[in-house]
Amino acid sequence: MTSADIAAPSALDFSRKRRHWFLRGVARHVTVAIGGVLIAVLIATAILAPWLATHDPLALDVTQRLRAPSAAHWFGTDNLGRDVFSRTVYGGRISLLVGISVALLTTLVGSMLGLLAGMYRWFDAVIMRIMDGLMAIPAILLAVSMMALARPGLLTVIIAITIPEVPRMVRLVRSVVMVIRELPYVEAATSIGVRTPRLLFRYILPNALTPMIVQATYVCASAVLIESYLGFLGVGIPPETPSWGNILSDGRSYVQLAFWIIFFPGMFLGFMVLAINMLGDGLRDMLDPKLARRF
Amino acid sequence: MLNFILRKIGSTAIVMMVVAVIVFIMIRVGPGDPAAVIAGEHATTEDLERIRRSLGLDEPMLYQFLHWVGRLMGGDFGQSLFSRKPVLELIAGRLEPTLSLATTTMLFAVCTAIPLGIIAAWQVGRWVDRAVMALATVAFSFPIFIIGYGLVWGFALKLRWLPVQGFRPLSQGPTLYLTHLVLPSLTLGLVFMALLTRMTRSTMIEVLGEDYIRTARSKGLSQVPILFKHALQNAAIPIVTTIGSGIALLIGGVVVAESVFAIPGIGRLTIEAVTQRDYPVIQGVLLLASLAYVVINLLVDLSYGLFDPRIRNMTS
Repeated sequence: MTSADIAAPSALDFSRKRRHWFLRGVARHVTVAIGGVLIAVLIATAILAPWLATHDPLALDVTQRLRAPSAAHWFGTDNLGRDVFSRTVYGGRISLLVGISVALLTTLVGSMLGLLAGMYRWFDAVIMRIMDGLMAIPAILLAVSMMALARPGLLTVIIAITIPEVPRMVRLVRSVVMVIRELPYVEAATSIGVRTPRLLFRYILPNALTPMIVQATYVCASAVLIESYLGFLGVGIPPETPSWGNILSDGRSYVQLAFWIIFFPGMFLGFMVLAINMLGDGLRDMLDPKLARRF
Repeated sequence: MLNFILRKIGSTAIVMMVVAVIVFIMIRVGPGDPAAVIAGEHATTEDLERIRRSLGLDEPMLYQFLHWVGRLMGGDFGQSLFSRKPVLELIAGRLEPTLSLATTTMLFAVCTAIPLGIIAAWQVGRWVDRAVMALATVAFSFPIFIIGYGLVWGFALKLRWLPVQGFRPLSQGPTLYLTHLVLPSLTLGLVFMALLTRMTRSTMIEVLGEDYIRTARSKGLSQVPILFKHALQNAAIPIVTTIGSGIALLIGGVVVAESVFAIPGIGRLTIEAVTQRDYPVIQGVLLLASLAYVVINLLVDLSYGLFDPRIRNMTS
């Protein structure tokens, strides 16, 4: 018997125990469960869009303009005769892509800056002043203004939404790091000669992960919402792409004639954001027992 | 106390300086050359030169910045590239609708959110609390325009109680003015209310767990004075702080709500400026919106003294 054989079962046990703990947590937290299921359904819809869509989301049909929902067009058609159901299903892909990209990018940039700010005083002084300045500019206004600077496209939208979200993540990570770095185990690690990069990534970052994950879900929800606002205001992703924001923007002028162009994608959007927020609230309660006990 | 005030004013000034730097750099480090964007596709080299010069883009960066800040201090925010009107004049012309909407929204949100948050905290875990929290989460998640169009459909198109959209200045009479403001402020207020209710609730839960609340209960005080006097007074600072930081959300929301209800305010001005790439107007709006946000939060910080005698009587 080699040493690997002996080590393997205990590692497995550990992961199984952890998984049970996680699943029990999910089952006990109704909001996580509902939010999770709702998100799973919406993600599945987005992934399966090519199979679910009944029409080509870009196909125009001028004979079928502004038709009310029917068996042929479940969510009706828009002013150019495009099928609203198919557009809505495809639009979910863009919204999810924007939401997830913004959440990842914000977490990545925010945690790097936050770690450095928490560790080095001089860096802290500079970076936090910049973050204070960024936070003073209202997020939607900043995102809208940044759309004027570059060619409108998916990447521009993602960056324009990410920049206003970063400061809050930096503040969060920084405050957690400032608490953790005073703990005895960090002192112990420093005294046995662990270098700073390893200290940051292996010793400190893992302990900051819980609040970061919760914050990232909120960022994702807000990104989905802001993408739709940019589209609605006509400064988002180029209009030919069927994003939820763009569908809503197209439907705006026809809201009294054909409410379905706005209603259905708006509902999908609302439920998507609601599901992500519920997941965030639930995760916060689940992963932070101190808060959970109080409620 | 004076020390406290001066320190707060100082840090506010620093934040505004940083905002100015960010806004200044934003326009210059963007991937596109602003002059080329403004001039369009058929521009000649001379056109580009002329535009660069009118924007001051041909000077060294530091000089440009100092010159620009100097003019801002003197109240000169430049002029629109399209209408040639001074930026401040354009903004002033759109101030009434935006300020009216922001004020009524805030009033509605504060007057509903604080009682709701208190009731939820008092009934924590029971169905009233769950219902309030569910309402708050939904209102926070649904896009402003869906709530807005929903209300328009119900109250303006079906019931015909209120106008569908538009804005009437106060000079046309208070009835027209207010009826046009009801739906927009209700729409925007719901989102703001959601944020504030959640904050009020969680702060109140914390405060209601304190020893002095138990003392108040045990000496036989009834629910109402405990909740609204003892507890609310101690929860006031975080609640007021949330109202202050929520101003950023409110300003963003105003931009969207103005589009839904065709209100000719600063939000619409911004969107027009962004679609036309009218950089001086964009800069002006960003600076003034941030200034409003920062000044309101300064006032919030200074108001702490009203709620907490420990801050009021601080000597050092």
